[in-house]
This record gives sequence, structure tokens and C-alpha cells, in this order.
Amino acid sequence: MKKSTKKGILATALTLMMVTSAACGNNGGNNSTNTPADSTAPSDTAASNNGGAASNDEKVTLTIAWWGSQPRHDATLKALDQALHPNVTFQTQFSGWDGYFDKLAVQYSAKNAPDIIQMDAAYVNDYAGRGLLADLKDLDVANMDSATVDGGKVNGTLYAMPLGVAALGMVYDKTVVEKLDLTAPTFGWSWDDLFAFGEAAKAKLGKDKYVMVDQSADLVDYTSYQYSQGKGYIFDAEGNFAIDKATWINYMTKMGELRQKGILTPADITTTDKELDPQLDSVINGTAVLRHTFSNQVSAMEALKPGAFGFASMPKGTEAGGWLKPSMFWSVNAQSKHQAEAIEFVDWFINNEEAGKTLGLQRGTPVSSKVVAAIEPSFSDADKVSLDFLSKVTPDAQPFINDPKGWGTFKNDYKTVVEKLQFDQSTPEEAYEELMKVAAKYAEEAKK
Amino acid sequence: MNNAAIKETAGSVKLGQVKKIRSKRWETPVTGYLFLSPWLIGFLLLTLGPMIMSLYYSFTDYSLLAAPNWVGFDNYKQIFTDDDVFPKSLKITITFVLLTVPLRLMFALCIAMLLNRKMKGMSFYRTMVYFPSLIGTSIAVSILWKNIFSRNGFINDFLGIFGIKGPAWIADPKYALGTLIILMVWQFGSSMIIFLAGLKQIPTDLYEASSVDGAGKFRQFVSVTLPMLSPIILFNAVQTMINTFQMFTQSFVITNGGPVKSTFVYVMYLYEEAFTKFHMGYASALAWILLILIGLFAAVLFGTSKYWVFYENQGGKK
Repeated sequence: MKKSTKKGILATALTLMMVTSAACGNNGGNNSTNTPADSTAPSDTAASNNGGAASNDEKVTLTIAWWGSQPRHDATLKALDQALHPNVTFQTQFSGWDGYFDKLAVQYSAKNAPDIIQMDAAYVNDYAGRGLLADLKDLDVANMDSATVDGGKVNGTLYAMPLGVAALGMVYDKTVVEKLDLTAPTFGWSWDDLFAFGEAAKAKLGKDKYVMVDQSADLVDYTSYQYSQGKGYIFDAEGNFAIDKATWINYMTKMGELRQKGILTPADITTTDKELDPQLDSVINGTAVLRHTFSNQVSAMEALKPGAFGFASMPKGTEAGGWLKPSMFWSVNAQSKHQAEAIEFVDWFINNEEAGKTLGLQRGTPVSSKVVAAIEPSFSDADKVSLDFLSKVTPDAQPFINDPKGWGTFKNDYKTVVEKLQFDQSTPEEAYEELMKVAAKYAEEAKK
Repeated sequence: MNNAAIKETAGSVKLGQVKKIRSKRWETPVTGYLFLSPWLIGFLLLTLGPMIMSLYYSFTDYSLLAAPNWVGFDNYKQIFTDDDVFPKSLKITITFVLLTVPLRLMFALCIAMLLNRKMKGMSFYRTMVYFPSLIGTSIAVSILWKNIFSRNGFINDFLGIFGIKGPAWIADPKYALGTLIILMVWQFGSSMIIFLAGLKQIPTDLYEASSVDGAGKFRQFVSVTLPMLSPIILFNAVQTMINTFQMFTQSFVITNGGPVKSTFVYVMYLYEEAFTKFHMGYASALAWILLILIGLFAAVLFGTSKYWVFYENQGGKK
């Protein structure tokens, strides 16, 4: 009896532990914060029916979420303090880009997503297509370029308000280029110029420094290359995947050569490179000289190393490689109980000149021409560089298209496929086949 | 005593007394359940409920943002027939488990034996060795690990002193999984504590008797310590095996499954399907397969235990 009891207890304890810990183990560190929307329940119906908090004395708490770097957090928090309305208080959830959309999905499934959500072009179609975003037709968009506003529309309805425009281009370490007496990259340089710059710079940099961060696993880089070769966007008008086989293999072969020559960063440095991270960004920490960037990141880079950087366009082929994109959007949660207040806030955010002054160019150049005119006199040097960057890319910018519905996470799988090339585990032809297999899965799912 | 008293007065028991006895009989389990209730309620609401939900979701196409539709065994069928990632992540996970569990147990046992000596200030050493386990085995330690093993981290600086150029531990597919294994082995605190308690349970007369018989230290370890400790080893093996199968934080924080998916363990895959791609139904099916898999491994451990686990009161039956 004694021995069986002892054995029995052990077995039972282990079984229970196994069952409980195996099943409930992992929720992946995505702790959603509490929802303040519920605490103001009595005012809900009143507030949303009379079309705004302005005529309502009830206290309203709006949850607002965004991603970004420290200067953007600081500016946004300051702007929120300038509160548009004494009855509205904000609860903020801000973070870096990593995990932002994972968390948002979990919050939506738990029905406690923020009222106001910073949205990215990759996900607008996914979220709007599932009916999770509110119609923003009540926003005042009189002072905005209609093409820009259209960037936030899905089937003609405005679900995401563009907050700024950013241009794709490149950043280089000016101090290194000057010290080594190299011909600096320019706006309007070509792929041949870039290759020549690579050879010349590598010869002077030596073994342990590299010319360019290997961003070939970033879909942005190839997209720009395909544009520059005159082969159009990577999705056709119907949202079908349209990577040109010969162009892709050419590009990857060329990148492989550059990697071999030590012009591109080697794979083990590439995998730990993290854009805009003070320690891990290879251009900021001095491991490499050149990488692609967006014009709205200028001030974040300047903040880390003032005056050290110069900017250039993406290289040209037969056409330009850069484009303008809405840097990010505000969307309003369709499940929110305070949609009217949330929309009123977004309206204030994009149209109010005081708000514009506080926010600066942290989300790209503001879309309202009135706001731009008001804040222009107070531009910092970094702002001027950013604006100059934008205006130089604008004339021959390629069209920007939001990722089709269902393709929001495609760039993660793309990265995995190209990583194999970086680590020499695959050839461009094999990688192309693998990529097509992945794309076929996405296409199949997008049809559902 | 009480029983005897009742028997004696069996014929002339007063009504009140019967009632008292009966109510006592009923009272006991209720009180027991009452004391259990905090755990029981937590188990039912936070564990059993979600488990049943996830079993249900595994038969649906639940996408996190839209309502679930019943699809029968489609998810399971797809996992086993049309999924390239599943076998890969499973292979990585099983490799990880098979290497981590024995290494961690050996390491924990060695440390426990070192700490089981009689020495001045031993309780201080025990505290210091267990200390890392107190600061948590999760995010903070993972970030620390990421820094220590980074290109210009502590380890490579240290190797540099001897003129060795260390590899890119976490950025090279050849070394990344190994680096995570070292981390898991290093997080030995809880197993070590249990071993230490087990070592203290071993009667000293066994050691005295064996040394009288002329057994050396090694002989004592093989013939006394290991058999006496075998139930504890089984317990630790099963517990470590479960933990290792569920490894997520380390891979998520340190390598994010990379480079080239070399540390893309099973639970990372599950997480990606669930929260990045919104395939909650599919991910639920993956979770249930993991549960069954852990069950199988545990069954193997228990199945073999009769050949190597020794229970004192079994009288040394082989």
C-alpha cells in the first residue's frame, strides 16, 4: 500500500502538471493592457449618438496605440497633453515596431483593441477587409492632396487617415565618405554608380568594414529594383503577385557577388542588424556606410549622431527606384464605444496647427498643406533635411500601393527565403522556386 | 477509541449523537474542497475552460479576427500532409529536447552534489547559486544572454584574451541552437533544488555501511546515490522535458527563430501561426499535437522507469 501510494502520488502530480502546463503554457508575452472603455460605460450611448464629446460633459478615456522610436513617443505624448477637450483623457500604448501588430491582433480577438490605432500600409487591407476599422468620412480633408488621402481608402471608403508622407531613399555615413575621399552618393545616382561606389569604398575600408547593409531580404529593396528596371510593381492591378523571374534572379545573383566581395555585410552581421537601434544599426555603429531609409527616419538618425549622415535616392535603372508612401495612418477601431471622440481626435491631430508644431515631422511630412505652412518657420535642421529629401524624390517617384489583403505577413516569409541565400544555403534559382511556392499559398488564402 | 465507544453503546445511541457523526462524515470532504477551491476555480476557469475551447478551435478555421467555422479534421490533415514547416520545427524541437534534458539534469545534479557538502558558509553558496533562478528565467535573462553572446559580447571578448576569435554565437545557424541549449542548461536552479532535497533524504548509514564494505566515492555514487535518487531523477526528467518542449521565450527574444529558422522551435511556429498569421484554429491543432507528443515522451519515460527507478520500500526489486 505504501509504495503504490507513493508512486501514485508522483504519477498523478506529474500527469496534472503535464496537462496543465502543456495546455496553458504560452501566450507569448503579449499582455494586452486593460481596457478603459468599459469603465465609462454609462456615457457610451449618449456620446456616440450625439456625434461628439464636445457637447457632452461625461468623462471619456480614449486608448491610443502607436509604434515608433523615442523622439516620436516624446512628441506624441506632448501633443496628447495639449488635450483637445477637457473631458477626454488618453491611455497610451506605445512601443517599437516589433510585435506591434501581433499585439493588436490579440487585442482585437479579446475585443479590447485601442480606440485609436496607428496603422501601416501592409495591414490596412487586412483590417479594413475584416470590418475592424471605422469609416472616417467625417474627417476634414480639405487641405490635403486627394491622391494622398486615397492611400488610406479601401474600395472607396476611408479607413485609415495618412499622417504624413515619406520618401524611400538611402542614407550614408558622410564622415566616412569624406574621410576616405569617395564620390558621395547623390539623388539621381544609378545602379552602376552604386556598384562603382561599392568597389571604391571597399578598397579603402579594409576587411572588417562593409559598404552596404545587406537589405536584400527586405522586400522593399527588391521592389525598388524591379521598379528601377522598368518592370513595374511587385503586385499587378488585380493584386496578383508579379515578381519578374529574370529580374529577381539577376538581382539576387548580383547581391551574392557583392556579398562575396565584402561590399555587403556578411550574413551573421546582417541578421543582427536592427534599423535605428543605437547599438545594432550597422550604419550607426560604423560597421557599414550605406543603407536604405525613409525620409521620416531622418530625425531619428540625426538624434543618434547629429550631422553625421548624408542622403541619396534609391539607385536608378531605366526608371527611378524610389516612391512616396503614406508613412503611417490613424485608424479608428470599429469596435470602439467612442468612435465619435476618436474621429474628432484624429481630425484635430491632422488639422490643428499647434498639434502640428508639437509633432513636427515625426510621422513624415504632414499631409495638410495648412499645417506644413504653419510649421515651416520652426523647422529644425533635421526637419529641413527630411523635407529636402522628400522633395528630391517626389518628381520621379513611383506609385505606392498598399499590400493586397492577405499578404500583410508575406514579407516575413520572403525574408526567410532570402536569408538562405545570405547564408549560402540556396541558389537564386532554388530560392525563386521556393518563393513561388510560398506566394502560391498566400494567393490561395487571399482568395478565401 | 471513538469507534469502540460507539460500538459499546450501539443499541442505545441518542439521536443527536448519530447526527453529529453523520455531519462529521459529510463535513470532511466539503471542507477539503473548500480549501482546494482557489486552485480548483483557477483550474476550471483558466485551464480546463481554455483547453476545451482550444480543442474545439482545432477543428475550426478560427482566424482570431473572424468567427470560427467547423472544418473537421482538415487542420490535422494539413499539418501532417501539406506543411513544410511542421516537420522542420518538430525536428529542431526534438533535437533541442534530446540534448537539453540530459545535459541540464547532469549539470543540476553535479551542482547539487557540490552544494551538499558540509562546509562553512554553505547556505550562502546555495543562495548565490540559486539566485539566478530567482530573477526569472524569462525576458530579462534572455536579453542578458543576447548581449553576452553577441558579436562583441562578453564571451567573445573573453575568448579574445586568449587570441581565439569566437563565432557569431546567435547570428550563425551552426551555433544558434547550441547557444540556446547552453542557456537552458544554465537555468538549472529548480532541478538543482529538488536534487539537493533528494540528496539530503539519503540516509547516511548507507554511505557508512558501504564505506565499511570498502566502496570508494565513485562506487558510492553509482551504487548508493543514483539508485536512491532515481525517483527524483525521473521527476526532474519529466518536468525538464515538458519545459524544454515548450521553450519559447528564449528563442523569441534572442534569435526570433532565426537565423534561417535554425531556432524556429515548435512553439515559435505555433505562435507565428496564431498571432502573426491569425490561423488560430490551425495553431490550436498544433498545440494539441504538442500535448500528445509530450504525453508520448512522458509515457516512454514512465514505461522505462521500472528498469531504472528504485523505490526504497520496493525492497530492491530489479
